[in-house]
Amino acid sequence: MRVLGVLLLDSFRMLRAKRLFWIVLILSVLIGLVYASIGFDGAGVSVLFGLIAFESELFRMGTEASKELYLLLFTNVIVPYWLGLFSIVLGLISCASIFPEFIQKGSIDLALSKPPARVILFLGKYLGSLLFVLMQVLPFTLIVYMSLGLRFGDWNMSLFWAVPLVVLSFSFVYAVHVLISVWSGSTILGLFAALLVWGGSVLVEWAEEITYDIAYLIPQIGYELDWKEGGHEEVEPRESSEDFMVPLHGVLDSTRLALPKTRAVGAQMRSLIVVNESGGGLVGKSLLALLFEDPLEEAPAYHAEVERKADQRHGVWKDLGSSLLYELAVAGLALVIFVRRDF
Amino acid sequence: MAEYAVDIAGVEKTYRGGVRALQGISLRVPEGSIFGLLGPNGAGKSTLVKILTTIIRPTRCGGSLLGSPVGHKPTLRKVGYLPEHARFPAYLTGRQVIGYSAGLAGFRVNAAEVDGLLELVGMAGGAEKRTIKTYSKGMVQRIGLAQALVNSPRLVILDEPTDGVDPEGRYHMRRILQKLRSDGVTVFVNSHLLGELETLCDSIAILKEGEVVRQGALSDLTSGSLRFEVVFEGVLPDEVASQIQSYGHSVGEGGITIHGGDPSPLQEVLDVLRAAGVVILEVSKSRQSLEELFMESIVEAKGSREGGGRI
Repeated sequence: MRVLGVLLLDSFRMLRAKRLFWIVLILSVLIGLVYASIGFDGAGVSVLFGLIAFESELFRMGTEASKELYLLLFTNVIVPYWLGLFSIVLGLISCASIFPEFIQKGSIDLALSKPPARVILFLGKYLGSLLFVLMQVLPFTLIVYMSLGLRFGDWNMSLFWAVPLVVLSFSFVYAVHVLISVWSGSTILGLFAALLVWGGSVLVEWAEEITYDIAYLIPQIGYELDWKEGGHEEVEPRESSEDFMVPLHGVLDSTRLALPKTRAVGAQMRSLIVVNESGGGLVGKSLLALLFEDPLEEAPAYHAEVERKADQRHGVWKDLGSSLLYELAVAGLALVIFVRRDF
Repeated sequence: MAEYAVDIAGVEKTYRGGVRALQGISLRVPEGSIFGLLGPNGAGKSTLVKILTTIIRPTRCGGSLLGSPVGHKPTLRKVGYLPEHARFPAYLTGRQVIGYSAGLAGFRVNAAEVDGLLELVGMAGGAEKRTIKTYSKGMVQRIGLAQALVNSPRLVILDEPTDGVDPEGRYHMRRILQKLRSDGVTVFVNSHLLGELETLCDSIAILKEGEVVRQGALSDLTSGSLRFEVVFEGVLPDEVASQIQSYGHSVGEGGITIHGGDPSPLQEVLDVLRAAGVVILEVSKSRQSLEELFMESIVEAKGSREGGGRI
């Protein structure tokens, strides 16, 4: 345990020495403060601590919608775009040199000549790398938690789901980088491979979602798409379409299962963050629908049910579990290479 | 306490691709001595050191390190190591490198202990508070030596320890290694600097293409080369030169060489020279230098291989 502590302390010192770490941390805190500056009063909503104010019937002090808006801004904008995208990219760049530098001749010799097993050294470095994202997400989530508590009296602990989930998302991407950089010793190659696999897996997630909509969601709502002329016509709702979209979705769904699901993990956060005391989550709720008019409100009730079913077609634990298995396989392979290699 | 700090037999290493780096190395390093591992580039010195420190896995390895099988990780708590071209994390200060090394070895060091080590390697006085990236090569080596000693090791393995160190630093490092020996610590040095090893080592091994070609106490290895040199003034009369050559000694321009460490033949030669009225300028006893021994070993090994190849 002491060795693990030494390695984590070393990672912390390394991060502290990187300018990018401080830039990202300052940006994180600034974005957190901007978020915290959003307030509600009897007339409406204000930003920058009351500097700019908007009148609103819907979003004002005491309404459930204002709290939902506040949470949706966090889960649907800040988490996926700042923490889920930019932080991960910046984290990858910051942590890209950790393993390649560690396994360089003259550097690895020192660590390997000590009593700890190679597995411990690998895990220490791996977990140390995750510190970067943890140290970005944690203060940010704390600011959000404090803001929500102070503004609404809602001390919402479920917000802290963002911390492990964002760190997990990063680790799914980072595992590829570690594998390639341990195998090749190249920072650039590792970075390139990680971004490639990440981009590829996000594409598969998108493709699966689109094919699901065409193969299941649209037929279940009772629409039929006209591929030649464009547009759609209303028909009897049915379970699925009868063309190639169903098998294509099956292939993409299976492919998706084997890949890391960073996008889905971000989306699943909405089901884990609780909005109110009754335990209702943010599933099926969108920021745009809240801000403007929800098209589903005009539609028959079963449309919303179909939408909800689509949103929940992949369980949280199935997405998390399969992504973790993927990470275990990739990081495990990197570990095997690290343990067996003659340096 | 084991009699030998390193006692290995039949160490072999074949890399992927079939390169045989070590071909059955057997050697013994007595406890409390300074041992030098020599050899030309590619002889397998670093491979052997890395096997002892578990950085490389051997294809085959018998014997022990500090009484435990080679590769036994807990034994490394008693081993200090300074790698060749050591690269310490650039963001750490010299002081932190020592703490980091101690931590990895499972030790906790206090500030006074670190101060003592910094003092020992000549790095006290402020430089240890700067990050490694501001250090010269010599300073890095000094910190490298300090971190190798942080766990009060019984065996210190140093791979090219004086690489990049200035003459004063080298002298300082020699003194440290001698002090370690007097404290009972075994020092295993891998170096190209034969002159330095000659003044330092109790025993050596010479490696060539993955095999030990010479091994033993330095005094034993060079005892066969003991000789007396007699330097005289002017030219030796022919009859005197012939008489001395008839005793089996070499006569050169201005000097006579008497092979062997026995002083009796020297007395005989001196008597002959005096009787002939030759002015004797200098009489000295010498032996083969480590450099000469090294070159002789390498040439012999090459010759025997080529000879073997023809048969």
